[in-house]
Amino acid sequence: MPKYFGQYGGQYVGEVLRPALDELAAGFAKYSRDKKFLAEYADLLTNYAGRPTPLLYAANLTRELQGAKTYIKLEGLANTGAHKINNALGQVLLAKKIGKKQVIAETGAGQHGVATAAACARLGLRCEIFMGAIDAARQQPNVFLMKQYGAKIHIVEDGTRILKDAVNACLKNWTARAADTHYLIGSALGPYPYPDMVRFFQSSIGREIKKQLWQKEKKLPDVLIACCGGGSNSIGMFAPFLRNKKVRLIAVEAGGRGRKAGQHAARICSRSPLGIVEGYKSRFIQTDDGQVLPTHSVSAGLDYAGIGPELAALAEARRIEFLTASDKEVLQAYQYLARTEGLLFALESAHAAAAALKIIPRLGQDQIAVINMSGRGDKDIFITAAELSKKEWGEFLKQEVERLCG
Amino acid sequence: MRLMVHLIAGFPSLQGFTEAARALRAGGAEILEIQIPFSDPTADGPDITRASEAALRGGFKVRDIFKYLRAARQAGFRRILVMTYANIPYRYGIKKYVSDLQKAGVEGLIVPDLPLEDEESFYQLARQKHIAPVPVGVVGMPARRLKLLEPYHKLYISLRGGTTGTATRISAETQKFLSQLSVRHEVYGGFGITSARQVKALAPFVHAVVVGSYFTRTLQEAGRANAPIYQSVAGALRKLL
Repeated sequence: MPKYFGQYGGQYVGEVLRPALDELAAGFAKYSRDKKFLAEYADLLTNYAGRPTPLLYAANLTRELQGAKTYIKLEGLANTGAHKINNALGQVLLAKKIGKKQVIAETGAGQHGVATAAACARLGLRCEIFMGAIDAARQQPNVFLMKQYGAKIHIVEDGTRILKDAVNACLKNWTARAADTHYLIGSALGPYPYPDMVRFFQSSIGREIKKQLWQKEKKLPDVLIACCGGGSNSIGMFAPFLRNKKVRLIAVEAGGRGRKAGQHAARICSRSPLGIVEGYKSRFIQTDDGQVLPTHSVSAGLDYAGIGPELAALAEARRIEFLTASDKEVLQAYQYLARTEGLLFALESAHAAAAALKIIPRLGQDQIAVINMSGRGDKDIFITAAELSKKEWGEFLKQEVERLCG
Repeated sequence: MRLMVHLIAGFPSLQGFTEAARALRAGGAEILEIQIPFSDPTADGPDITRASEAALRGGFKVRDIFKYLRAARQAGFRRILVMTYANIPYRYGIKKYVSDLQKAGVEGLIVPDLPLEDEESFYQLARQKHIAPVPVGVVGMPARRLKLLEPYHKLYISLRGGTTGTATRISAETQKFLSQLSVRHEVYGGFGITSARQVKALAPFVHAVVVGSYFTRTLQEAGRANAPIYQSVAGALRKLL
């Protein structure tokens, strides 16, 4: 297991966290090869998470775009609505094996928080979730769901009050209680061994695609397309194909509202410089001075200034191509997929769809493309409805407020 | 008894910082630790985090540290350490950071998230430039990690995990750990020191007792109450002695 991916990654943490990270790395090395552990994990994936998730042939989209034959991996059908559950179950099970009594986690959109809270409820560990005040305000439905699973919610008022601040708060909190507490990072980033661990637990996405496509088409895909925030769904989809050099891997970053700082979360496409933040070295959207800059995306899950170190390394090696999709393109893709295929993409995943709508028509009809619908879009109704159906939605909310408070 | 006190560059302002430094020096503090504010601090409690944010909002740039170093000297400090997080020297260029701060007369550098394995050569470069790299250890760290501290004369030892700004109990175990290290090292010990009782319990076992977020809170309270900084800081320091 590599501590670095080229020049990226590492374990840039204070001495106080070293024992916990060493214990975690040792536990992961042991249990990731332990047949009993893997069988238990596989059982949870099958019977609790609902894996394998379907690989849908997008017949209508393929007909309309007249390009590559397109499949969509329906990760959004996994329990709790996104791929996040794969990693949450793996890490909670691991935490339990190495004797931890509780789990803390940060969340941005709330999907990772919901998955973690559910996995903890299922496996009987106490759970506390840290969430930036701004994210908590815009993702109230997920806050409610996490509480239903029995999680305690900490609202983070420091800094920009979004995901990165929740990560900082979690790291700080962990230093005081690492002996009996596991910190469950939801993205393929953070200090070693997190990027390895998250890739390991998310790789079932890519492995299933390989198997399912082989059954349907007897061949490998030509192009894989995934959205990329921290990078958990993209590395999970891409990892099993890294050695298949002919498979094009395309990661889509949040283009937001524009190219200026603060308007997007495109780390690779905006050529962000190297930095060491939150325990790992990667590319970060930051000032010349090294202060991390605010980001923007219509999707909370991609609204993050850093990117997983392995993804940064694969971008540098040109193994993964990076593109952006703007907020506007994302909302169009969300609507298009709903009408064309009957699929409600999460706004994060709709970035992959938006890029796919441009790429697929340029590919030959003998080619095969797969889009990862990493999550489903029900959770985004307060954002999508406000953007796409402002008047009716506003009236509905007003009515509801009157009914509740009047 | 030696005190190492902590202030944040850029907070509350150059003038406010200068007054606080003067009050601390006049009150008998020997070493000043100046923190360069960073947007994403992973080891600071809410008070230092907010003060760092305020400094950055106020337009603090890393190169401004030299103004603050001059102010600290003018306030009478001869022993100054500079603390910040890895991304600041990394972006500045670690070699240049080490060399510029050495030229500015800084005694030692603390970067808590640069590991002792020294992948970024910070510890090595600092020693070459004759400015002390001050690694951060923690009470109770395992023996195999303690070995990595051996090459360094000056050590900053956290009394516990968690974040700065909450109270710490100084147990017999802590005292034993510190006195063992102090045989061969110059140990600065602190984390959550807010009372004269703690200072007294700690002082015999370390080269200097570190008082960190306590003075940041004093400055924040003085700001809210519109109280004069010099008198507020001087008063807060007296309470510790």
